[in-house]
Amino acid sequence: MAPEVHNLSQTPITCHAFSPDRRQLAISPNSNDVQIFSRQGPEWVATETLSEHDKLVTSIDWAPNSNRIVTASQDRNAYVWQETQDPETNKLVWKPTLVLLRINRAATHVRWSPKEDKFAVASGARAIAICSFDSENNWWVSKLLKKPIRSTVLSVDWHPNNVLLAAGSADMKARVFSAYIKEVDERPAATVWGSKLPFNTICGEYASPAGGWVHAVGFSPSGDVLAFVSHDSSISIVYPTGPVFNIRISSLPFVTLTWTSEDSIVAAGHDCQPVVFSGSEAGWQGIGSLDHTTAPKSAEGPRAGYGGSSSVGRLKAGAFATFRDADSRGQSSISGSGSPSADTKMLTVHQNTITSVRPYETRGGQVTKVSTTGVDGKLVIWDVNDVGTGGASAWR
Amino acid sequence: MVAKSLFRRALKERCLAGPCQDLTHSRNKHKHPIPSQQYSIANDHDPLRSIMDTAFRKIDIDIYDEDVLQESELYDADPRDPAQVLEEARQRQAAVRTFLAKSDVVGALSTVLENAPYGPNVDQAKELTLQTLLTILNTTKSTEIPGVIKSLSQDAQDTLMKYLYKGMAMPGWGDISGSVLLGWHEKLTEIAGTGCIVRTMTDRRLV
Amino acid sequence: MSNVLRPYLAAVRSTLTAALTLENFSSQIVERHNKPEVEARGSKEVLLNPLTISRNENERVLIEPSVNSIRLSIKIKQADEIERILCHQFTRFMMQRAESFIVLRRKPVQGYDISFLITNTHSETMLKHKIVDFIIQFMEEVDKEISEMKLSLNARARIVAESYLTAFNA
Repeated sequence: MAPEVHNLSQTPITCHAFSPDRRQLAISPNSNDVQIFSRQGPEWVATETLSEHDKLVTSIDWAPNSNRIVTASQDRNAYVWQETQDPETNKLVWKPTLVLLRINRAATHVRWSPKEDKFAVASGARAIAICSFDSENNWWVSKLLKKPIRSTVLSVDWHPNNVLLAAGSADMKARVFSAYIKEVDERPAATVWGSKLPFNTICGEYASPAGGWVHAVGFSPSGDVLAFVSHDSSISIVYPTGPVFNIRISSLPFVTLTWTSEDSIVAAGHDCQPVVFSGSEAGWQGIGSLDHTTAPKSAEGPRAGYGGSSSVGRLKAGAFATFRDADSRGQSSISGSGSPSADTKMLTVHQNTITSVRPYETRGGQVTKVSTTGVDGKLVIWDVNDVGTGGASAWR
Repeated sequence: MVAKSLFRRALKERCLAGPCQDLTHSRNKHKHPIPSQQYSIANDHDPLRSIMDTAFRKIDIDIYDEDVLQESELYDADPRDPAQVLEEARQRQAAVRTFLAKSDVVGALSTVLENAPYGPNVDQAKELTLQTLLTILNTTKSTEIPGVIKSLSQDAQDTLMKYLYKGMAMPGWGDISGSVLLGWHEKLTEIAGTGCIVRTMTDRRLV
Repeated sequence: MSNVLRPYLAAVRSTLTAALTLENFSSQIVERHNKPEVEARGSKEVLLNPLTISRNENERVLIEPSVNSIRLSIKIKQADEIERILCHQFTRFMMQRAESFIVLRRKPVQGYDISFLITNTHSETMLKHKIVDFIIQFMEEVDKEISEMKLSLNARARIVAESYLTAFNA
């Protein structure tokens, strides 16, 4: 089945989040605003704009049960948006609530906790703000996780027990913290990550294998396994009591990931296609890409002479062929009119870096569809079971 | 004058004493970390002197923030002693010669790329390793290269990429030949992919 | 095109592709600022190892990657004094018009003839692989351009000399 492709905007999409019923979608079109789209038939139509931030909106999360949106921005602020009835027009409008973040640098990533009574905001202030609601003052207050973070925190992810938090940062480490807040949380049961968990306990610290920034982290559905992708073109899967698996990929680094079941992960990034990894405590490996567009084309023509290593996709196509022709046959077409520049379209569905991948549809505890948005302004919904084997050799 | 030198000393002490929280954190509120009254003293005198007095503006106060990552903290240091590393490099060089005598290029390459020296204070061992590697690279026939690279481990491929860039960064050194290195680079990129180049960029364990 | 040029350009292409993995990264030193880290050099951890690709001592490319920007500097082949002058004039002409080239830097990095600064904004508004194509094409053209200029300069010198000497012929 071909993936569903929607062209939402001309600008890059920094991040996206679906409403609980998947009828609405919030994106940040690489600007200070958040746009809400509604599904009308096969189309997505922009219905509302949430503008309160005055710098780039970096992350959005939509709480599935309480239907609240939280947004984070480089202006150092976060807002919680709630749909309320406007007394004058009787229409539902999104109203922002202030969050006292107490950070002095950009907020980079935000996620609701599973129970939706807390959320975590990653920031460039070398800290993570754990926010909970203060009903007396009607605002969100925060408590900062600081030690031992040494650089901008790029992503966060909650453990299903509502207490543990994973964070990946530009100091090349992925860490697991306790974000236990006395007033909100009950005492958590012991997990594989530890049993005594006061606020800011470090339950684990894992360095990326070759010094890359940790772009994204994710707990498995059970919370017993942690995966992270880093800028050294690798994905690591951590079993806290057992082995740490490290898969080096031969293409460009991933920047985002999501677990689809206890034994599989979808990761995507600068290579413009979502890749599926699967495995267990015995070992992990790349299965293939969800994007089939490259596979059939790679088999034909100019590629054949190159031993079929499909890893460097773009490198072999278009302009590369021009150089090879120029060298081997003395044809220099590059200075000529427009023949080589005809290949402005890439073979993949996404035409530029994929910035976020999130679960879209879940059946029986397994994610069956994931959605991706990218710098090319596209939203694509993929069937995770539709894995192409074409690129398998690339994700050793 | 007295007031000025006092202030200078105070500033120096503050900056060198370690974390000067208020200076770094409120950087935006006080763009110039100097009280205005001191500022006027500096301007009273001849223009040349007031230029000289701005040297303090160049002090990088951010490095005194205890949260800032220092160069040495970007990677785990090599646990081996520099002398030991050099000794190992010498042994490897000898081992490579025997491999090359048997014309076992894969064995020679894997040996030289294993536990390659990195970090500071081992410049001699690094040079020795590069030299040994270059002899291998220069003597391998270009038709054999893809086969050789394919039989290397991923670690060895990544290290080889580091050495290729190191070699290209110092053209004219020893018997470096640009075309040989470029030939290897091309084949290695074909087999190990752009990911290998990305890892060369990110890995601070410089060879 | 000579046989050595192709692997050289291929190496630049693959290295540049690997380096152009940029993201929007707000400064962690100055609040509410967003600057190219490769120029600001504020925090070490967001700068990556600079890589050099060289054909020989006189022709090399330096790529300095960072989290949100890369700097690419080219040393153009200059075989003799005329090429040196032509190269200087040519790069100066372009750098004075840097804003129309968008990714061009106004000043070259020391030791190089021309530098490009590509930020995450560029890789967001333009197609990434087309930026790579542009740089490669530039590298190809610049050599050709300079040798063509040198030829026409020589030709003109010859004509001048000839017409000067015909005066004595009569």
